[in-house]
Amino acid sequence: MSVDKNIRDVIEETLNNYKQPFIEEFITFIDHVLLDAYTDDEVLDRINSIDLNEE
Amino acid sequence: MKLDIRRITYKNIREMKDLTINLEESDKIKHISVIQMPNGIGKTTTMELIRYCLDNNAENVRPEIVKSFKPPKSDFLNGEFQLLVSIDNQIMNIKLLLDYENGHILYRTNNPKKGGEIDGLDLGDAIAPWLRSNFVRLFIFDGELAGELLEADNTSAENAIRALYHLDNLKAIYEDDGTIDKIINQRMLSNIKTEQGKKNIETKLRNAREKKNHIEQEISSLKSSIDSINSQMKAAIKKRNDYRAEDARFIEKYQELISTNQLLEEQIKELSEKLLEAMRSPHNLSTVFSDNLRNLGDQMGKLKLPKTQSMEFFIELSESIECVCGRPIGETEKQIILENSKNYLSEDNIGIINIIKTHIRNLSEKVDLEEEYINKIKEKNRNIRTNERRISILDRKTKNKEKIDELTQKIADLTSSKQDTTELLKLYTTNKKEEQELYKLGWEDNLNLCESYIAGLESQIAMTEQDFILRSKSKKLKKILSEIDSKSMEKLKTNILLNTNDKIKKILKRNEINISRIGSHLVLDDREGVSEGQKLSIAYAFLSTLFSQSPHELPFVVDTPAAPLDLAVRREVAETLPQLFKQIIVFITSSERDGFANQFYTYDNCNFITIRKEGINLLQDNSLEFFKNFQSEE
Repeated sequence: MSVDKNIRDVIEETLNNYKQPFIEEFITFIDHVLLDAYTDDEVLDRINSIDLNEE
Repeated sequence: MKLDIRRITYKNIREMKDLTINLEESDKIKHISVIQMPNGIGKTTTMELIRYCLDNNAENVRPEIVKSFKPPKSDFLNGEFQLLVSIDNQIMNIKLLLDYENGHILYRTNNPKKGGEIDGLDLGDAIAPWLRSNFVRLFIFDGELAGELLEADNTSAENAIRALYHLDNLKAIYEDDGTIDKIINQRMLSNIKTEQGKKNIETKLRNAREKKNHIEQEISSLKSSIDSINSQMKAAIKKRNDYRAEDARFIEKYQELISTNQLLEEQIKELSEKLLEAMRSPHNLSTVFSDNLRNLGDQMGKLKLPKTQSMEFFIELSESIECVCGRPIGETEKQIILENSKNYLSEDNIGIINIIKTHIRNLSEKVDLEEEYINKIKEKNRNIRTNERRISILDRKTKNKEKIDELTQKIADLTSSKQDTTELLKLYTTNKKEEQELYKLGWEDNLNLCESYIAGLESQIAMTEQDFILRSKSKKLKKILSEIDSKSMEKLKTNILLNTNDKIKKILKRNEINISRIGSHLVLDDREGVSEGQKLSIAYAFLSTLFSQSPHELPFVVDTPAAPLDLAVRREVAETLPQLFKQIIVFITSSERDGFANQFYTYDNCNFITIRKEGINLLQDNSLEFFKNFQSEE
């Protein structure tokens, strides 16, 4: 995991504000994005994991 | 990532026909390498080529630029530039092959992990994402960057932070028409994108369901009509037979003809059923097909497929200690038996072939459908028509003639009405495509078409709903990622601002220079402008802060860093730079020794290299004494 501590804190804070689940999976996803090593399926998984009921 | 530059090698590039600059000693990288060379020898060229070695952009360089690297007044067709690096302690050699004739550059990489020298630039999957142009120019320092960082309409400062933390990759995901939008557009099941479009489909579905109810009511009504007509016909036929029975002269003849016709109709029904059954056997339909099928049966009968020759037999045999002939079966024999077992059928296949053989053997003799059924049905139909004509003759002679005529007319009318109603019912209910096309039926005319139309609309609505959910989720994900990006940038900028200002204070002790905020560029406190030297100092402070906070350990390569600086600032920069980077490679002219390079003379871990031109030759001297005393002709 190479996500910078500052960025990781922001991810956690933002997901908590939006009451979104799967924070660790989200951080892993961002890690892959920042390394440009993600797949389309990973993006689709993240889209599907979004909870629309919680704001 | 830890990156060191160990050696630079030139062959037929500008003034450098054959030159190697070593930046290590006994496998250890020198902390500082000061390379002194007069202008025009190749400092800028070296910076450019080092960048190409790392950013994978060399193959996109314009042909006229590639050709400009050719040694002047020479016939060389090719040049070569090599950079020996270690990445995370793995030695790799990057080679640029310059083709002066065609104006392009090719890469070759010697990456031990990839098994030696290979075409292309391949420094490993873990490193590749980091080494991009906008990132490489931060540490293979592009002097123009110093000015850009402070320009109001320039985004270099923000881009540098984005590049170092790779937040530009994050932006590429969530921005409009970015990765998320592209993936979503590929996954959309329906072409309906608006609420109004969805409502239109729902209205169509409502109308179609109403129409289906209407068609079902019509069908029910028509079936009732047919039932009613059948009852009326039955009653009329009974009444007509009753009238016929009232005339004693013809009663026996009537009964004979009517019962004969009833019997004939039953026989026709029975023959028709047998005909249909016989037609299900394909060999009855064509002599050619029948003959071929029997021929196949004969051929298959000649095949011998004993169970002991099945593939399974040989597989079992290969596992045995010895063969059926008594000889031992070793590993070699086992492999041969298994290989040859593929030439035999498996038990499954043998079973299927035996079933086919049995079916063909049990085929009945071919039946002549024409002779056996069709002609007989025709004959019996002719007899019925003849008997009906006889009944009709009797009807004309009987005493109840008028009543019978009236009932016969009624029966004919009912028969016609039944035909019309049955035809109408067929239009509503047929599921035969050819009939639907013949009568040009649409979903509003036919129950099956209407049901298919409804199923299509329902599926479209289901897909649209799925699409809407996916679109809403992607929109929300984009919003979250955008917020993560902007908040991360703000947080990083705040930290970088504090540390950069601390460093500026150390470098520019006598100047009150302070960065008030980092927007797209570095915004200074109440200042109209700064000198070139101050710009460079701010840039070094900013970049060193960036790298000190990043997980990367990178070299800092810079061209003529002290030229625009006054002596005092030179000393500050010379003192500060070694603290900021693990490896520093500085290309200078002799005019930068005072105040800058001479600060390193007492430093142990330092290379002093002088490259000079003598006639047409380029000479290299690695001694400090020569370095100190070298005077270029400039």
